[in-house]
Amino acid sequence: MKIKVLSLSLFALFILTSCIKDQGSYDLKDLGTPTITTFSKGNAVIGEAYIIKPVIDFKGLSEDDFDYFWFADMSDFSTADTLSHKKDLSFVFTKAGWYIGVYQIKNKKTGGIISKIFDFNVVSKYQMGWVILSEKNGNSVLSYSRLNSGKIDTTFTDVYGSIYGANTLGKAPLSLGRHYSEQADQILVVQEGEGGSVELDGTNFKKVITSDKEFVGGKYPAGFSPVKAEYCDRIEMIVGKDGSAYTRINPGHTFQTSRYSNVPIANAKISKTYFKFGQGYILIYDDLNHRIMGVQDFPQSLAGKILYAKLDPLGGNVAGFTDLANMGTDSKVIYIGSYVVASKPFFIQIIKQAGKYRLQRFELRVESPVQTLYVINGTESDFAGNGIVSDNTHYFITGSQYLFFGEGNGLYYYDFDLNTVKRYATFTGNVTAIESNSAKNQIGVGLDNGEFYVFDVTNEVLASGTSKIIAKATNLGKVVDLQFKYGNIGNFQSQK
Amino acid sequence: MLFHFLIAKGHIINNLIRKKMKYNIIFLTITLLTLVAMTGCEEQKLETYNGDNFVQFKKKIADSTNVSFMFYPGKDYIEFPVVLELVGVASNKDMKYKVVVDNSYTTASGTHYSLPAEQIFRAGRYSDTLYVRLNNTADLKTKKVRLLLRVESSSDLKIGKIEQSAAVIWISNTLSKPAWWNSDIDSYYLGAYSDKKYELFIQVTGIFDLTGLDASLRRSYALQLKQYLSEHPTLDDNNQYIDVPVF
Repeated sequence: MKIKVLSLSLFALFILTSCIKDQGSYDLKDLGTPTITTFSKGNAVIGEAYIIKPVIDFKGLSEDDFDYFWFADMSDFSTADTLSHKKDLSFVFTKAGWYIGVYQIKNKKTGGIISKIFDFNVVSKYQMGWVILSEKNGNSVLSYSRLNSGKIDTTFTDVYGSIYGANTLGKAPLSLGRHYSEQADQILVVQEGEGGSVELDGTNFKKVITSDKEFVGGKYPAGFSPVKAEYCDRIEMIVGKDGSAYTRINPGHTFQTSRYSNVPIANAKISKTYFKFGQGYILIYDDLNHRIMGVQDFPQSLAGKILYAKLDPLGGNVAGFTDLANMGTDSKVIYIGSYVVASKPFFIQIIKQAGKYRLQRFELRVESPVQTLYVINGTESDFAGNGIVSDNTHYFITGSQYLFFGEGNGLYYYDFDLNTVKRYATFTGNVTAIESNSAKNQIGVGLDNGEFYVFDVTNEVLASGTSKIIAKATNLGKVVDLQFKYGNIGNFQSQK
Repeated sequence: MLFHFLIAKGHIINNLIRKKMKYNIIFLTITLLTLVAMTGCEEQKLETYNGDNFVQFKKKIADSTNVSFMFYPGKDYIEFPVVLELVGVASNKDMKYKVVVDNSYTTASGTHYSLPAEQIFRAGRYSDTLYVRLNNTADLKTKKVRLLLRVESSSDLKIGKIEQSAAVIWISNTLSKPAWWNSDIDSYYLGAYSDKKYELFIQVTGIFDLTGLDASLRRSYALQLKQYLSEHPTLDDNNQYIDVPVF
């Protein structure tokens, strides 16, 4: 009975409680927070004001009723800074990289805050494009054709001289090199004369270090004079005029973290090198022993290992294929390149034998434990360009079925499928350098008369039989080398 | 009347007592303040250390030293530095100390070493060096000898800490695997250790210690040995050609 009374009483109490009107003031206070309706951000360019003008719905309040705060932190947390306390951002960045930004608006009266987190890249205004090395009155001249949204918008003639003073880069230029970090790139300018071989910061073309300082001991080995360098994923190699080559192991997309050994690659005189991203080794031609070798690139534990070409006896090499392990004293390697057919990489070589130019095509299989590059499916025939080409012809293979070459004032291309050579363009100067863009649908051509062209080399244009100029620059000096500037490792690795 | 007089006198006396007490308190306060002030002005001179000075080796006896003439190619003898330290206050004059050879533990003979006749801890210093002459004798090619040095009290300096009162020096003209030749060196630079390989490495590079060197330098020195071996194939003690894994 007591239990019933107690239960009833409790139940009644709950019922009554639920009926009581709660007269407390629990309404949330309106903090007067606005809404960001539009927030357009692009990439920031080093040295130029990075501007963001958010469109804000102030909900009837005034712009002055709020405090503003812009903050950015570099993705590696090495650089963090308050950028502005104004509604709109205008800030000049000095360091390339990927940043995370915060935009905060605070109601001065209520303290109500809204935040917007965003990310953006700070890039060099010289990030992507074409770098042209030329010689003018004995001086080295570096020019740059900037690529903006896939199109060349400006050519900075003598970009180095315009920033750091005319004729201060150096003298007697020979070649260009390039390597990358996650954020930026460096450009190697090899010069035989004053100024020497020097690395430039790709974001501003400022000199970083001369190559002699990149050797163990801070100086070149006796008699060494660089002519070119190859930068791969792990192994980096610098080649001298005398054919000596020195390597260093880069722990991974960094600059100046390791130095070249002062011990050369043994028993070799290197006259040709070829490296393509993802290849796994640098292909080199040893003029001393008339052989093709490889310098292994990765894994890092094997970087620098020498691989020797060897004909695979069961590898389907045709009779008469010149043995890459011993090409003989009457053979001279003129060019090494590669292209891909149905995801399968093929190497090609233009060699000269008994006054004739021959075209070799082959595949390579790496057997690192036995230090061997097995040569398979090798074919060899007279090159269709005989009668046009010489020992000084400049070649460039786009990675597909076309091998472009410049001889004298003509630009030609060889079609692997058709085994034919066609003239693509004729100039008023002689071709001195050829290179392709990232997508491999354009090629840049440098001439000894100071002209630089970018051509459309898509199948459609080639099939039309008429060359198509995309861009042209003049008065650059005698072009000695050119290269496409990728800006960072990500862009380099994403090339076609 | 008398009563009133007595009462009045009592008041007067009380007043007098109160006044006197007041004067006493004032007097006492002034006296105390004067005393405090006088005490505050007194100059207190600090005592300086004027006890004994002690001398000891910098290294503890447990940290013996290995000296191999393999690291001093072409040398018939070396002046090997042994660092000593002073415990106490540096003197303004040279002080004599005494380091002797403890023959009870020493296996080296008199032909292997000699100590300087004059052992002076120079004025104003807390650390000084004893140069022990170690001689490269023929027998060191085949055996390793031990020299135990011990600090003894002199007229100027007493023996410091017991654990630093003696020093052991091993003398040889042979090699043994150094601590820096670790698995990293094994795998990527020089391969498995052998006395012959180490000897060649020192001979080719002039370097006997890779401690603290960066990867580029280690690689470069290892490549020097590799290059030498490619030009001068050399057999190890096990009759196998010496090879190094560096690329």
